[in-house]
Amino acid sequence: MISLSTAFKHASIFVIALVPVFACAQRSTTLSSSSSIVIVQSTAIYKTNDMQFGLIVPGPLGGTVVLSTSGTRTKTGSILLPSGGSASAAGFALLGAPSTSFSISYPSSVTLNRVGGSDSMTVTAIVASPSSGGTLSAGGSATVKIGGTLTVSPTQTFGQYSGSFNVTVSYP
Amino acid sequence: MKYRKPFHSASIFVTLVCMNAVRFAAAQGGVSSTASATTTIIQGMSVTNTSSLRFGAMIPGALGGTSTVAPNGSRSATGTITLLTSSSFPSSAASFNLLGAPNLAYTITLPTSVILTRQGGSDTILLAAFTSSPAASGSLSSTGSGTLSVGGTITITGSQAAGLYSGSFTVTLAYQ
Repeated sequence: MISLSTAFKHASIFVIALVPVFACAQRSTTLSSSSSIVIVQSTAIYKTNDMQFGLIVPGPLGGTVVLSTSGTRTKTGSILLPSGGSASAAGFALLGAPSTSFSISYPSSVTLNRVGGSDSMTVTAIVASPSSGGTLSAGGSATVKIGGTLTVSPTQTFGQYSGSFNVTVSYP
Repeated sequence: MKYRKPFHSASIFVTLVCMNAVRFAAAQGGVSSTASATTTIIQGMSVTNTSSLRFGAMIPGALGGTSTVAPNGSRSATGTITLLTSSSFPSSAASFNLLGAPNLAYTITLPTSVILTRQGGSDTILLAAFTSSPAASGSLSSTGSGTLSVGGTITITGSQAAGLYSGSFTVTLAYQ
């Protein structure tokens, strides 16, 4: 009897020792996600897109590239517009109290400089949608898109050009 | 002999569990018609994060409060918070696509709380009270797929610094 009892005890210990083996069969997968929130104190403006003219080939005569507020490109002159690069109008998200009216201002022209050089190009005829202002939606937001016209000289040095400009939103 | 009997049966029990797991995988491998499905079996469960837990934009108001995103994606707020609706900053529950063995049962462990930090600053927001759908456990479909959605609640003060706050969290699924 005593030895039987001992045997059971041994078996019991053995099973406990096997628990880690059993845990090996139990597998797990870790799921990761991000979380975000935007806090607005009175009003806010966020850039959602840069103004991108994409890839441009000047050709023998140069010309202009018009980027609309919806992000479509049209050209004049001998310019070719390969589809490789992505083109987009500048985009801004406005946030604030629902139904607040606002006005926007932006520069009439922006100079772009060649990365790693001193060559420049100019964006003029800058247009916005809405053109001068509007009213935040009932949900407290609005979207502003900005495009412009880029003038490309036939002798424009190849390279990447960039510049920056500010958009100011006023809440009267 | 009596020493070995209980000893042996315990050992068989454990072995059976392991073999079950292997058979499960093997059966799925045979039914499966694509190489990627076979890879999924070897890994146990494959997970794709299809959407993050987004609270969108909001104005705290004088006193702040809490905002909750439910696993079905619906957003609500308490206190003086004004929830804003912006296509640039939509709200959504976190969502995951799960792939694994058919009918694979799993249990879900959600985080207790995580800290969201303001971009370009050190201000924080506590994200807690995580909820999920399915809630505590679930099982993949007969074709080995499933979806898991996760929501939570953030608490903000009236003077919460304006800006974009972000952070990340992990959910653990355990299965055999």
